[in-house]
Amino acid sequence: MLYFFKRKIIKRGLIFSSLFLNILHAQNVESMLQEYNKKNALSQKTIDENKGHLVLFTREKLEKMHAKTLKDVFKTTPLIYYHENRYALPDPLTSGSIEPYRSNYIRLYVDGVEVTQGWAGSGLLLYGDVNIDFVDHIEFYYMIPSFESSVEPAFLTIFLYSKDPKRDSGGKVDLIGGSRGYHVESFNYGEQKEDFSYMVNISHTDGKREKIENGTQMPLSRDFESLQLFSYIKSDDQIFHLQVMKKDTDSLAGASWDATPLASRIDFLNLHMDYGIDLTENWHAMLSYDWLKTTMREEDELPLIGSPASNRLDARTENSTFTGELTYKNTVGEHHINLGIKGRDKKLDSVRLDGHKVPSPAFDSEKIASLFFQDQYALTPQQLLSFGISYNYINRNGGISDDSLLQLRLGYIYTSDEWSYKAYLYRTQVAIEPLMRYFYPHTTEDIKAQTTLGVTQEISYTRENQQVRLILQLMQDENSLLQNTLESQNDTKYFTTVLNYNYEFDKDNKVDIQLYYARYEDIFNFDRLDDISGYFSFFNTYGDFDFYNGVVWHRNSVDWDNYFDWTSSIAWNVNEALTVTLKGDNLLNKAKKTDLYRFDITTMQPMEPLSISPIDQRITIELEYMF
Amino acid sequence: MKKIFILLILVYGHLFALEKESTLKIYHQIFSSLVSKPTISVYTNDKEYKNVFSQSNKINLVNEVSVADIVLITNRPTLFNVMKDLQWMQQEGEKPILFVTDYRLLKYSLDIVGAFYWRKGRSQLLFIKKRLDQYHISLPQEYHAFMVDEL
Repeated sequence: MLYFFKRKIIKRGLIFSSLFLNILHAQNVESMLQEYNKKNALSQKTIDENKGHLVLFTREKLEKMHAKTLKDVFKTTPLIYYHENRYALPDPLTSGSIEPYRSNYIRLYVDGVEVTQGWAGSGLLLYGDVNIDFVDHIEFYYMIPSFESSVEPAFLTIFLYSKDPKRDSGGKVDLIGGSRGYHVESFNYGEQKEDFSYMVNISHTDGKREKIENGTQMPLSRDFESLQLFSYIKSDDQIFHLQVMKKDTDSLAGASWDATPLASRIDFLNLHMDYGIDLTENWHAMLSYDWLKTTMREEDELPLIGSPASNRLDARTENSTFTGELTYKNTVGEHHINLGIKGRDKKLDSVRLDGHKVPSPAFDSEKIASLFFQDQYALTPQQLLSFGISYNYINRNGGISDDSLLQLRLGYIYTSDEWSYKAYLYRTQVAIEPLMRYFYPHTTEDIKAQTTLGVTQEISYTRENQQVRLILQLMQDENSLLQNTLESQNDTKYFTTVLNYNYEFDKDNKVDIQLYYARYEDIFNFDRLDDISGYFSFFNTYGDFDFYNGVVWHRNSVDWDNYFDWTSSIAWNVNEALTVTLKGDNLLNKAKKTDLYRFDITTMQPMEPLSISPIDQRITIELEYMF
Repeated sequence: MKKIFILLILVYGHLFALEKESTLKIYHQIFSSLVSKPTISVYTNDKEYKNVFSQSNKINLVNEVSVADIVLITNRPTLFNVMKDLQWMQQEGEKPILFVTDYRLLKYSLDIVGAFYWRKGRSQLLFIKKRLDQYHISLPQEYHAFMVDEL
């Protein structure tokens, strides 16, 4: 009896053990897959820890967020977030006032190559809300100049990295329809051959957007239509990109002082090409060309901004930019040396007014030469010390002063399996926009280059399924360009902090929390400005359904109003090839608004500003088919 | 040491997308479930996978399809070349197991038993039961969650 009882116990024990082992093995395969995902994401190939403080959007996160434009991502970032200016163009640093493009210190890169609008400045102008169907992942590096990649100084560098046909071979058709007749069509095809690979993405967006009431019969419009091509062909050591962007946009208030234009429209046609080659294991060369045609049509009952004698503008400009760089990388002992020379030539090719070619203004050319050197020294197996220096010389014609800018950076990185710590001490310089100097010579002739001194620190702790990270930044601007009162004698000071906490319940359920606080002193006419934001995102998968909920919260000391931008999506993965997604943006219609300033030109008195959010409330349905 | 080394590698020269340790771990697991041998002969013409597999003492890289236990295929032209070779080999009664890294390749040949591929930023493992049966392969229980009867 005891024998049978024992056998029964042993048998049950064996069955239990077998079940337990099976579950354990299954978990092993699952956990192995999770580990593989983390370590083999393409972002792991491109992240450069030494570039600075990173906010990363992996492919998996972009897919789960159903982020379709750079704007969908940029609206969630800390420190600097998505804004549009009075022309409805992406301009995160805009003050809402009457000013030239203000975000030239934010630079945009595609596969490591800067996309610039040349004369117009940063590529963000046109690519700030670009369709990102061709993108694998996005990296935002904050505050510290990225010497390796930048030709011109920058405070924020945004890197878009394209999909790799090795992981995304074949085709994909994406169709989106949404509120107010908004619709997007996108086609993607990539193929890996034995010796090379290529990818082509074509997308069309008919961006029907919310109108802005301005107290007249003609509310302000910012509808746009864009057609973009992104393509590349690459081998092991060479790559060629071709990008074309055509964007026709209603430009909101445009050049109307009181934001009541009779007509306001800007059409862009942009071409970007670049070719990169690894000459040897150590030497890399890159050449790029950007061309931009801009057509502006502005009309008002009263004279326009910048045209005191005219209430109508029909202008067309063409400009081109050539960029070349030669870089060298090598590891000598414990030193990883990185140096290079870069050059850029911007030219305003032609100006047409009312269809007739007119002489270009005296200031129509800018040449930039940059040199950089960086040494990363492995102090111990866990510690890295880095030193970087970059010098930019900017030469201009037309009597506009040249600039000579010096950037310095000292960094320290400690890393272990669970902890990591980074600290940077830096000095960076940026100059006032040359167009400001050209248009307002008397008020800008004495403005020196802004020098920013800063110390930043980042500490993070990672353990299995969770990560916590704290970033602290202290900065001070001498000759700040962000002060609206040019007479101000005080230095602008910043203290910013970002706290991230990510928790992965399992492979299907995840929560990401980001909190941001900044205190500014003597900025934008404020003695003190406090800015707070949060981004709370939840990712869940149940069977064939993916759920995403993200809330962006903003609040600042201007009025302490709370703004909430809630984005939610449900995706049904019908099968391996077909996905149907229902998504809502700004569902509460309480996304952050900023002021657009207006003036009564007859009295030159300020009018009540318009409060505008760059984020539309929109419901979309999307069909995605892969073949 | 490993972390700093990775850091330096990441900013240096031409880069490979595959992380060796985790890639070897998963492929050891997959290949061992398909072939019960202490050392498995694998054919692949993909440079990145060759580079990773060359670090393994459980995988023996071979230069010909005919002597491989498993053929790992990463692109369509290679698949078609291998399929041509296989036609000839089937007459000889020899047949390596075909495994791919792209879901779309599964439809081209019934000889492909499974795929380990990327979909929307996540790796996916998939075995096709009917095709495994052709090879008389019975996978351990832990793989049943990754198996479908047919495509």
